[in-house]
Amino acid sequence: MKTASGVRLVTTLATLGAACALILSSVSWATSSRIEENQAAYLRKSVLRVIPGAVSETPLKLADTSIFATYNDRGDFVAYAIVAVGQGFQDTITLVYGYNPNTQKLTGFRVLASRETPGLGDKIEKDDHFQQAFAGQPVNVADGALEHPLVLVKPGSGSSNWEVDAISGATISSRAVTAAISDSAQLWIPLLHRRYLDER
Amino acid sequence: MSVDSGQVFTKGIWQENPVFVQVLGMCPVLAVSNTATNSLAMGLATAFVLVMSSTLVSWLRPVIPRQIRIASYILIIATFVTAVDYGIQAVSVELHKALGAFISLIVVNCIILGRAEAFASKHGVWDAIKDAAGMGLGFTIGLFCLGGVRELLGAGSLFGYAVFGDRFEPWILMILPPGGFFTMAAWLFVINLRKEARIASLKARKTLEETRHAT
Repeated sequence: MKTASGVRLVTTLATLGAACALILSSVSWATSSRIEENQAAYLRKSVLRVIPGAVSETPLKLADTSIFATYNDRGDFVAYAIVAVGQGFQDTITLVYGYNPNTQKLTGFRVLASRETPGLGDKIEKDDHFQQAFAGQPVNVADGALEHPLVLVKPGSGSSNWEVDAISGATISSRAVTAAISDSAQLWIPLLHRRYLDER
Repeated sequence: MSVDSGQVFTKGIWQENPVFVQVLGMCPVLAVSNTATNSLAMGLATAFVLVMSSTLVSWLRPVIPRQIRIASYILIIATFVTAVDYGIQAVSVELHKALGAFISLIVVNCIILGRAEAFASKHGVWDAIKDAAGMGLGFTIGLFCLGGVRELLGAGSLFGYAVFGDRFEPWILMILPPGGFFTMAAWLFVINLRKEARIASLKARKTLEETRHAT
Protein backbone atom coordinates (compact mmCIF):
# COMPACT_ATOMS: atom_id res chain seq x y z
CA MET A 1 0.00 0.00 0.00
CA LYS A 2 1.32 3.45 -0.94
CA THR A 3 2.17 5.88 1.84
CA ALA A 4 0.42 9.21 1.72
CA SER A 5 2.24 12.52 2.15
CA GLY A 6 1.92 14.58 5.35
CA VAL A 7 -0.11 17.25 3.59
CA ARG A 8 -2.56 14.63 2.37
CA LEU A 9 -2.99 13.22 5.90
CA VAL A 10 -3.67 16.64 7.41
CA THR A 11 -6.08 17.72 4.67
CA THR A 12 -8.02 14.41 4.75
CA LEU A 13 -8.44 14.46 8.52
CA ALA A 14 -9.29 18.18 8.52
CA THR A 15 -11.88 17.69 5.75
CA LEU A 16 -13.40 14.70 7.53
CA GLY A 17 -13.48 16.61 10.83
CA ALA A 18 -15.11 19.61 9.17
CA ALA A 19 -17.66 17.38 7.46
CA CYS A 20 -18.52 15.67 10.77
CA ALA A 21 -18.80 19.05 12.53
CA LEU A 22 -21.07 20.29 9.76
CA ILE A 23 -23.26 17.18 9.98
CA LEU A 24 -23.49 17.38 13.78
CA SER A 25 -24.29 21.08 13.88
CA SER A 26 -26.98 20.68 11.22
CA VAL A 27 -28.49 17.69 13.10
CA SER A 28 -28.39 19.72 16.31
CA TRP A 29 -29.94 22.73 14.55
CA ALA A 30 -32.64 20.59 12.96
CA THR A 31 -33.60 18.78 16.16
CA SER A 32 -33.13 21.42 18.88
CA SER A 33 -36.60 22.96 18.61
CA ARG A 34 -38.23 19.51 18.56
CA ILE A 35 -36.15 18.41 21.56
CA GLU A 36 -37.13 21.52 23.56
CA GLU A 37 -40.77 21.07 22.62
CA ASN A 38 -40.67 17.40 23.61
CA GLN A 39 -39.08 18.19 26.96
CA ALA A 40 -41.63 20.91 27.74
CA ALA A 41 -44.47 18.56 26.77
CA TYR A 42 -42.96 15.79 28.88
CA LEU A 43 -42.71 18.15 31.88
CA ARG A 44 -46.38 19.16 31.52
CA LYS A 45 -47.44 15.52 31.16
CA SER A 46 -45.44 14.55 34.27
CA VAL A 47 -46.97 17.43 36.24
CA LEU A 48 -50.47 16.19 35.44
CA ARG A 49 -49.55 12.58 36.21
CA VAL A 50 -48.13 13.44 39.60
CA ILE A 51 -51.38 15.10 40.74
CA PRO A 52 -54.48 12.89 40.58
CA GLY A 53 -57.48 14.68 39.08
CA ALA A 54 -55.52 17.50 37.45
CA VAL A 55 -56.21 18.17 33.76
CA SER A 56 -54.55 21.55 33.10
CA GLU A 57 -51.64 23.53 34.49
CA THR A 58 -50.17 27.02 34.46
CA PRO A 59 -46.59 27.89 35.39
CA LEU A 60 -46.21 30.27 38.35
CA LYS A 61 -43.75 33.10 38.07
CA LEU A 62 -41.71 32.53 41.21
CA ALA A 63 -37.90 32.71 41.20
CA ASP A 64 -36.18 30.34 38.73
CA THR A 65 -37.69 27.11 40.06
CA SER A 66 -40.42 25.62 37.87
CA ILE A 67 -43.64 25.54 39.88
CA PHE A 68 -47.05 24.84 38.38
CA ALA A 69 -50.55 25.36 39.67
CA THR A 70 -52.88 22.60 38.46
CA TYR A 71 -56.64 22.61 37.92
CA ASN A 72 -59.29 19.90 37.59
CA ASP A 73 -61.84 19.53 34.78
CA ARG A 74 -64.15 22.13 36.41
CA GLY A 75 -61.32 24.66 36.51
CA ASP A 76 -60.86 24.53 40.29
CA PHE A 77 -57.40 24.62 41.80
CA VAL A 78 -56.12 21.15 42.83
CA ALA A 79 -52.48 21.25 43.86
CA TYR A 80 -49.03 22.65 43.18
CA ALA A 81 -46.33 20.76 41.28
CA ILE A 82 -42.72 21.65 42.10
CA VAL A 83 -39.58 20.70 40.17
CA ALA A 84 -36.66 19.69 42.40
CA VAL A 85 -33.05 18.70 41.69
CA GLY A 86 -30.82 16.46 43.81
CA GLN A 87 -27.39 14.88 43.54
CA GLY A 88 -27.74 11.21 42.57
CA PHE A 89 -25.16 8.45 42.26
CA GLN A 90 -23.75 9.53 38.90
CA ASP A 91 -25.41 12.78 37.97
CA THR A 92 -28.16 15.09 39.17
CA ILE A 93 -31.69 13.72 39.42
CA THR A 94 -34.44 16.08 38.27
CA LEU A 95 -37.94 15.28 39.49
CA VAL A 96 -41.34 16.85 39.98
CA TYR A 97 -43.52 16.33 43.06
CA GLY A 98 -47.05 17.38 43.92
CA TYR A 99 -48.17 19.33 46.99
CA ASN A 100 -51.83 19.70 47.93
CA PRO A 101 -52.08 22.75 50.26
CA ASN A 102 -55.71 21.93 51.12
CA THR A 103 -54.94 18.54 52.70
CA GLN A 104 -51.34 19.60 53.48
CA LYS A 105 -50.06 16.40 51.91
CA LEU A 106 -47.70 15.37 49.11
CA THR A 107 -49.37 13.68 46.13
CA GLY A 108 -46.35 11.74 44.85
CA PHE A 109 -43.37 12.32 42.54
CA ARG A 110 -42.03 11.47 39.10
CA VAL A 111 -38.44 11.44 37.88
CA LEU A 112 -37.90 13.75 34.90
CA ALA A 113 -34.23 13.06 34.18
CA SER A 114 -31.63 10.84 35.82
CA ARG A 115 -28.55 8.85 34.92
CA GLU A 116 -28.77 6.34 37.77
CA THR A 117 -27.33 2.85 37.21
CA PRO A 118 -29.68 0.80 35.01
CA GLY A 119 -31.11 -2.10 37.03
CA LEU A 120 -30.15 -0.65 40.43
CA GLY A 121 -30.46 3.12 40.95
CA ASP A 122 -33.13 3.49 38.29
CA LYS A 123 -35.50 1.57 40.55
CA ILE A 124 -36.44 4.99 41.99
CA GLU A 125 -38.52 5.35 38.82
CA LYS A 126 -39.96 1.83 38.78
CA ASP A 127 -40.35 0.63 42.36
CA ASP A 128 -44.08 0.95 43.19
CA HIS A 129 -43.58 0.79 46.94
CA PHE A 130 -41.05 3.64 46.81
CA GLN A 131 -43.20 5.68 44.42
CA GLN A 132 -46.21 5.33 46.71
CA ALA A 133 -44.23 6.09 49.87
CA PHE A 134 -44.35 9.80 49.00
CA ALA A 135 -48.05 10.04 48.20
CA GLY A 136 -49.98 11.12 51.29
CA GLN A 137 -46.93 12.19 53.31
CA PRO A 138 -48.06 14.99 55.66
CA VAL A 139 -46.18 18.25 55.13
CA ASN A 140 -47.83 20.53 57.70
CA VAL A 141 -46.68 24.11 57.99
CA ALA A 142 -46.22 25.55 61.48
CA ASP A 143 -44.88 29.05 62.21
CA GLY A 144 -43.92 29.60 58.58
CA ALA A 145 -41.76 26.47 58.37
CA LEU A 146 -42.21 22.77 57.60
CA GLU A 147 -43.02 20.83 60.78
CA HIS A 148 -40.85 17.84 60.02
CA PRO A 149 -38.42 16.96 57.20
CA LEU A 150 -38.78 13.68 55.28
CA VAL A 151 -36.31 11.01 56.37
CA LEU A 152 -35.15 7.82 54.70
CA VAL A 153 -35.38 4.63 56.75
CA LYS A 154 -33.97 1.13 56.12
CA PRO A 155 -35.78 -1.07 53.59
CA GLY A 156 -38.73 -2.87 55.18
CA SER A 157 -39.04 -0.58 58.21
CA GLY A 158 -42.45 0.48 56.94
CA SER A 159 -43.27 3.90 55.53
CA SER A 160 -45.17 5.97 58.05
CA ASN A 161 -45.43 9.73 58.57
CA TRP A 162 -42.28 11.53 57.41
CA GLU A 163 -40.56 8.18 56.86
CA VAL A 164 -39.70 6.75 53.44
CA ASP A 165 -38.61 3.14 52.96
CA ALA A 166 -35.32 2.97 51.03
CA ILE A 167 -35.08 0.60 48.06
CA SER A 168 -32.66 -2.24 48.74
CA GLY A 169 -29.84 -2.06 46.18
CA ALA A 170 -30.58 1.61 45.48
CA THR A 171 -29.91 3.29 48.82
CA ILE A 172 -27.93 6.23 47.40
CA SER A 173 -30.54 6.99 44.76
CA SER A 174 -33.41 6.65 47.29
CA ARG A 175 -31.58 9.02 49.62
CA ALA A 176 -31.04 11.49 46.77
CA VAL A 177 -34.75 11.54 45.90
CA THR A 178 -35.84 11.90 49.54
CA ALA A 179 -33.30 14.67 50.20
CA ALA A 180 -34.23 16.54 47.00
CA ILE A 181 -37.94 16.49 47.87
CA SER A 182 -37.35 17.25 51.56
CA ASP A 183 -35.01 20.19 50.87
CA SER A 184 -37.26 21.65 48.21
CA ALA A 185 -40.34 21.15 50.43
CA GLN A 186 -38.73 22.99 53.34
CA LEU A 187 -38.01 25.92 51.05
CA TRP A 188 -41.17 26.11 48.93
CA ILE A 189 -44.06 24.55 50.85
CA PRO A 190 -44.27 27.29 53.54
CA LEU A 191 -44.32 29.92 50.75
CA LEU A 192 -46.89 28.06 48.67
CA HIS A 193 -49.05 27.41 51.72
CA ARG A 194 -49.04 31.15 52.49
CA ARG A 195 -49.87 31.92 48.86
CA TYR A 196 -52.75 29.42 48.91
CA LEU A 197 -54.26 30.91 52.10
CA ASP A 198 -53.89 34.44 50.71
CA GLU A 199 -55.66 33.56 47.48
CA ARG A 200 -58.56 31.79 49.13
CA MET B 1 -11.02 -10.62 -2.28
CA SER B 2 -14.13 -12.73 -2.62
CA VAL B 3 -16.06 -14.07 0.33
CA ASP B 4 -18.88 -16.55 0.59
CA SER B 5 -21.86 -14.24 0.96
CA GLY B 6 -23.90 -16.40 3.33
CA GLN B 7 -20.92 -16.88 5.64
CA VAL B 8 -20.31 -13.13 5.88
CA PHE B 9 -23.64 -12.71 7.62
CA THR B 10 -23.84 -15.89 9.71
CA LYS B 11 -20.28 -16.01 11.07
CA GLY B 12 -20.99 -13.10 13.42
CA ILE B 13 -23.94 -14.94 14.91
CA TRP B 14 -22.19 -18.21 15.72
CA GLN B 15 -18.59 -19.11 14.70
CA GLU B 16 -17.24 -15.63 15.45
CA ASN B 17 -19.83 -14.40 17.95
CA PRO B 18 -18.47 -11.07 19.28
CA VAL B 19 -19.40 -11.83 22.89
CA PHE B 20 -18.64 -15.55 23.33
CA VAL B 21 -15.94 -16.21 20.72
CA GLN B 22 -14.14 -12.93 20.07
CA VAL B 23 -14.82 -11.76 23.66
CA LEU B 24 -14.91 -8.18 22.41
CA GLY B 25 -16.78 -5.18 23.80
CA MET B 26 -16.85 -6.60 27.30
CA CYS B 27 -17.35 -3.19 28.90
CA PRO B 28 -20.98 -2.69 27.81
CA VAL B 29 -21.62 -6.45 27.89
CA LEU B 30 -20.88 -6.71 31.60
CA ALA B 31 -22.18 -3.27 32.54
CA VAL B 32 -25.66 -3.18 31.02
CA SER B 33 -26.61 -6.85 30.85
CA ASN B 34 -28.36 -6.83 34.23
CA THR B 35 -31.89 -7.03 32.82
CA ALA B 36 -33.32 -8.57 29.67
CA THR B 37 -34.78 -5.26 28.49
CA ASN B 38 -31.53 -3.33 28.99
CA SER B 39 -29.45 -5.92 27.18
CA LEU B 40 -31.84 -6.08 24.23
CA ALA B 41 -31.97 -2.27 23.93
CA MET B 42 -28.19 -1.97 24.12
CA GLY B 43 -27.71 -4.80 21.61
CA LEU B 44 -30.08 -3.31 19.06
CA ALA B 45 -28.69 0.23 19.44
CA THR B 46 -25.15 -1.10 18.97
CA ALA B 47 -26.17 -3.18 15.95
CA PHE B 48 -27.73 -0.10 14.36
CA VAL B 49 -24.61 2.04 14.83
CA LEU B 50 -22.42 -0.88 13.70
CA VAL B 51 -24.26 -1.24 10.39
CA MET B 52 -24.26 2.50 9.67
CA SER B 53 -20.61 3.11 10.57
CA SER B 54 -19.42 0.01 8.67
CA THR B 55 -21.27 1.27 5.60
CA LEU B 56 -19.61 4.68 5.83
CA VAL B 57 -16.15 3.25 6.53
CA SER B 58 -16.41 0.87 3.59
CA TRP B 59 -17.70 3.63 1.31
CA LEU B 60 -14.96 6.11 2.32
CA ARG B 61 -12.17 3.51 2.21
CA PRO B 62 -10.60 4.69 -1.09
CA VAL B 63 -10.06 8.26 0.19
CA ILE B 64 -8.77 7.59 3.72
CA PRO B 65 -4.96 7.12 3.93
CA ARG B 66 -3.75 4.14 5.99
CA GLN B 67 -1.92 6.16 8.66
CA ILE B 68 -4.98 8.07 9.85
CA ARG B 69 -7.60 5.35 9.37
CA ILE B 70 -8.24 4.74 13.09
CA ALA B 71 -8.70 8.45 13.81
CA SER B 72 -11.08 8.71 10.86
CA TYR B 73 -13.12 5.67 11.99
CA ILE B 74 -13.48 7.08 15.50
CA LEU B 75 -14.61 10.39 14.01
CA ILE B 76 -17.25 8.65 11.88
CA ILE B 77 -18.48 6.47 14.77
CA ALA B 78 -18.63 9.34 17.28
CA THR B 79 -20.48 11.58 14.81
CA PHE B 80 -22.95 8.84 14.12
CA VAL B 81 -23.60 8.03 17.79
CA THR B 82 -24.16 11.71 18.61
CA ALA B 83 -26.54 12.11 15.67
CA VAL B 84 -28.50 9.04 16.85
CA ASP B 85 -28.63 10.54 20.35
CA TYR B 86 -30.12 13.79 19.02
CA GLY B 87 -32.50 11.86 16.79
CA ILE B 88 -33.87 9.76 19.66
CA GLN B 89 -34.35 12.88 21.80
CA ALA B 90 -36.26 14.51 18.96
CA VAL B 91 -38.49 11.45 18.53
CA SER B 92 -39.48 10.90 22.16
CA VAL B 93 -38.24 11.93 25.59
CA GLU B 94 -39.50 8.64 27.03
CA LEU B 95 -37.50 6.55 24.55
CA HIS B 96 -34.43 8.64 25.33
CA LYS B 97 -34.97 8.07 29.04
CA ALA B 98 -34.97 4.31 28.45
CA LEU B 99 -31.94 4.24 26.12
CA GLY B 100 -30.06 7.44 27.02
CA ALA B 101 -27.62 5.84 29.43
CA PHE B 102 -26.45 3.36 26.76
CA ILE B 103 -26.17 5.55 23.69
CA SER B 104 -22.97 7.34 24.67
CA LEU B 105 -21.42 3.99 25.70
CA ILE B 106 -21.62 2.78 22.10
CA VAL B 107 -18.73 5.04 21.00
CA VAL B 108 -16.27 3.10 23.14
CA ASN B 109 -17.53 -0.32 22.06
CA CYS B 110 -14.53 -2.01 20.47
CA ILE B 111 -16.67 -4.25 18.25
CA ILE B 112 -17.58 -1.26 16.10
CA LEU B 113 -13.97 -0.12 15.66
CA GLY B 114 -12.92 -3.78 15.38
CA ARG B 115 -15.28 -4.52 12.48
CA ALA B 116 -14.36 -1.21 10.79
CA GLU B 117 -10.68 -2.14 10.92
CA ALA B 118 -10.91 -5.89 10.34
CA PHE B 119 -13.66 -6.03 7.74
CA ALA B 120 -15.30 -2.85 6.44
CA SER B 121 -11.99 -1.19 5.50
CA LYS B 122 -11.10 -4.16 3.27
CA HIS B 123 -14.42 -5.08 1.66
CA GLY B 124 -17.19 -3.55 -0.45
CA VAL B 125 -20.17 -1.75 0.98
CA TRP B 126 -22.65 -4.63 0.54
CA ASP B 127 -20.38 -7.19 2.25
CA ALA B 128 -19.62 -4.67 5.01
CA ILE B 129 -23.34 -4.21 5.69
CA LYS B 130 -23.90 -7.99 5.87
CA ASP B 131 -20.91 -8.47 8.17
CA ALA B 132 -22.04 -5.63 10.45
CA ALA B 133 -25.62 -6.92 10.58
CA GLY B 134 -24.42 -10.43 11.50
CA MET B 135 -22.04 -9.15 14.15
CA GLY B 136 -24.71 -6.81 15.53
CA LEU B 137 -27.20 -9.66 15.75
CA GLY B 138 -24.59 -11.90 17.38
CA PHE B 139 -23.78 -9.19 19.89
CA THR B 140 -27.48 -8.72 20.69
CA ILE B 141 -27.95 -12.46 21.19
CA GLY B 142 -24.86 -12.65 23.41
CA LEU B 143 -26.02 -9.70 25.52
CA PHE B 144 -29.49 -11.19 25.82
CA CYS B 145 -28.06 -14.55 26.98
CA LEU B 146 -26.36 -12.71 29.85
CA GLY B 147 -29.18 -10.27 30.58
CA GLY B 148 -31.86 -12.96 30.63
CA VAL B 149 -29.98 -15.19 33.08
CA ARG B 150 -28.97 -12.28 35.32
CA GLU B 151 -32.48 -10.83 35.55
CA LEU B 152 -33.99 -14.27 36.13
CA LEU B 153 -31.64 -15.07 39.03
CA GLY B 154 -31.06 -11.55 40.35
CA ALA B 155 -34.61 -10.22 40.27
CA GLY B 156 -36.73 -13.33 39.67
CA SER B 157 -38.29 -11.76 36.59
CA LEU B 158 -37.94 -11.56 32.81
CA PHE B 159 -38.63 -8.29 30.95
CA GLY B 160 -39.93 -6.98 34.29
CA TYR B 161 -42.56 -9.72 34.69
CA ALA B 162 -42.21 -11.85 37.82
CA VAL B 163 -41.50 -15.48 36.92
CA PHE B 164 -40.95 -17.36 40.18
CA GLY B 165 -43.69 -15.86 42.36
CA ASP B 166 -43.41 -14.27 45.79
CA ARG B 167 -41.50 -17.04 47.53
CA PHE B 168 -38.39 -16.57 45.41
CA GLU B 169 -35.62 -14.68 47.21
CA PRO B 170 -33.78 -12.67 44.49
CA TRP B 171 -30.06 -13.29 44.27
CA ILE B 172 -29.15 -9.58 44.16
CA LEU B 173 -25.47 -10.30 43.53
CA MET B 174 -26.41 -11.38 40.00
CA ILE B 175 -27.55 -7.87 38.98
CA LEU B 176 -24.50 -6.30 40.62
CA PRO B 177 -21.21 -6.18 38.64
CA PRO B 178 -19.83 -9.53 39.97
CA GLY B 179 -22.93 -11.27 38.60
CA GLY B 180 -21.89 -10.17 35.11
CA PHE B 181 -18.55 -11.92 35.45
CA PHE B 182 -20.11 -15.06 36.95
CA THR B 183 -22.69 -15.35 34.17
CA MET B 184 -20.11 -14.65 31.46
CA ALA B 185 -17.82 -17.33 32.93
CA ALA B 186 -20.68 -19.83 33.09
CA TRP B 187 -21.64 -19.26 29.45
CA LEU B 188 -18.01 -19.51 28.27
CA PHE B 189 -17.67 -22.73 30.28
CA VAL B 190 -20.73 -24.30 28.63
CA ILE B 191 -19.70 -23.17 25.14
CA ASN B 192 -16.10 -24.33 25.48
CA LEU B 193 -17.23 -27.66 26.94
CA ARG B 194 -19.37 -28.25 23.84
CA LYS B 195 -16.55 -27.16 21.55
CA GLU B 196 -14.07 -29.53 23.21
CA ALA B 197 -16.53 -32.42 23.08
CA ARG B 198 -16.99 -31.80 19.35
CA ILE B 199 -13.26 -31.65 18.69
CA ALA B 200 -12.75 -34.85 20.68
CA SER B 201 -15.45 -36.71 18.74
CA LEU B 202 -14.02 -35.48 15.43
CA LYS B 203 -10.57 -36.73 16.45
CA ALA B 204 -11.96 -40.11 17.53
CA ARG B 205 -13.77 -40.50 14.21
CA LYS B 206 -10.57 -39.64 12.33
CA THR B 207 -8.45 -42.21 14.18
CA LEU B 208 -11.20 -44.80 13.69
CA GLU B 209 -11.18 -44.17 9.94
CA GLU B 210 -7.38 -44.30 9.83
CA THR B 211 -7.24 -47.66 11.59
CA ARG B 212 -9.98 -49.00 9.32
CA HIS B 213 -8.02 -47.74 6.33
CA ALA B 214 -4.83 -49.42 7.50
CA THR B 215 -6.41 -52.85 7.97
